[in-house]
Amino acid sequence: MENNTLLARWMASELSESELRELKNSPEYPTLQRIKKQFTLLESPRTNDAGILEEILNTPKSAAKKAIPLYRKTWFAAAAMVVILFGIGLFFYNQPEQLTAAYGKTYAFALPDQSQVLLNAGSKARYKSKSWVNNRDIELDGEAYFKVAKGKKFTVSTPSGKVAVMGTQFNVRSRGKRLDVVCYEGKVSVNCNNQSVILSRGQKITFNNGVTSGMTTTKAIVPEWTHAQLVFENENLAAVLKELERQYDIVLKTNATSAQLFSGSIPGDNLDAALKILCATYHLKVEKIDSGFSLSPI
Amino acid sequence: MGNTELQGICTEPVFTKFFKKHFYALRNYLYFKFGNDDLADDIAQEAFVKLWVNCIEVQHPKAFLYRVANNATLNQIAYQKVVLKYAENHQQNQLDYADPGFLMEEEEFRKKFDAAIASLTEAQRTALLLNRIEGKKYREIAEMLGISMKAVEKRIHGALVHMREQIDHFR
Repeated sequence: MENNTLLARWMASELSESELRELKNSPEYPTLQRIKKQFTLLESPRTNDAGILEEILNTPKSAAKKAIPLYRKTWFAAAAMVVILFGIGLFFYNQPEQLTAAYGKTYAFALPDQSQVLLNAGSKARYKSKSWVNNRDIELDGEAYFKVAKGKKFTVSTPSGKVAVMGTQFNVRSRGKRLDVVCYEGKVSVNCNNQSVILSRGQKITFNNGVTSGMTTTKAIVPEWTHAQLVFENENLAAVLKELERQYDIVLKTNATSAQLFSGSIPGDNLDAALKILCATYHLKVEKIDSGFSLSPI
Repeated sequence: MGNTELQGICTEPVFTKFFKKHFYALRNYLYFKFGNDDLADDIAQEAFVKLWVNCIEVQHPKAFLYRVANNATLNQIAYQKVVLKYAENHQQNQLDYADPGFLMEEEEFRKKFDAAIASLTEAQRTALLLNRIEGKKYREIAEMLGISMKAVEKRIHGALVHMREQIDHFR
């Protein structure tokens, strides 16, 4: 059997007469014929073809293909892991910085562009340090004095409104529903309740519940609280007491109510003097109690 | 492959017809190659899914099918022995012959035959079984395997020579 396709052609009945005669005379022929016959007893293997077809037809045309080999699954898991880790990393990377001045303390810090912020007692500020240079936006809850380095727009967001500047010094105070902004240098744009006001040096504005009575002026060149003077203008007694609680880290209780608004200055570093001023103004007497002081009408 | 048929493969009736015509050839080709039922099902299914999902772009569905199947990487798959399936009525036929000696001889030959198939190379076995069990012509097998028809004939000839030697050797 030198011809290396002879038996293939024999199976396919393609042999010439002489080739076939020669093969039939060979001693191998009986076994070959039996092999050929044995194949006719075999059946084509079957499987659940209907189920497979149904699964295929149920695959959406745009969907990812069914990945079967193990290496693809591990590859996919690895890729998913990378994406997840990247996401987690990005999440932490973009976490804002949060700075807090506790009651009775102030807290000074510099922003990444060397702008200076001085937080008054009981105030919080949040900003994103990673994207700071391109997005100078700081969230403020409380009061702070800003010295802004020259650069892109600088925004202070408070619950009451937004203050936007280019490069300047100003004070923002956001307490409850009241927003006070004072400009000490440059120009400040204040946006509150869809009203926009531009303050120049020495001007200040107060929004109470989104309503303003207009701009007023000040001669101060820095906020009084930065040298321990608490200046109030048409402030109600409750707000004044709240501010004293923050500045001195004490508890003040009172059953006094007064419609009289307070305007004036109270020391931020002398509790006795501060309470005396209030008592004289509102006709109150002070009593020491466990948690702090009680103020009651005389 | 005409244009109308190209678009037709995306519709369920045409795809179903195409599937019925080609599924077992592909699936059993993979089975003869790897000897693994589940693997053959999975790879065949994957190839048809790819055809279904990409039906718009595919120009030659049959060639596409075998290309996908042949490209399947199978490093981790342990080869298993191909289990030949005998027709049910084979047993019935045997009962017709009352001679127990004949039955025994028949059974013995069957064992030798199965062993001889198992001792073939993967290339020989795949080509031979596609021809003998699936009834594929040498030209069709050449197309499936991506080799020449002459190469298919050589494989089948080699397979038969080897089987004959195996069987006669143990006689």
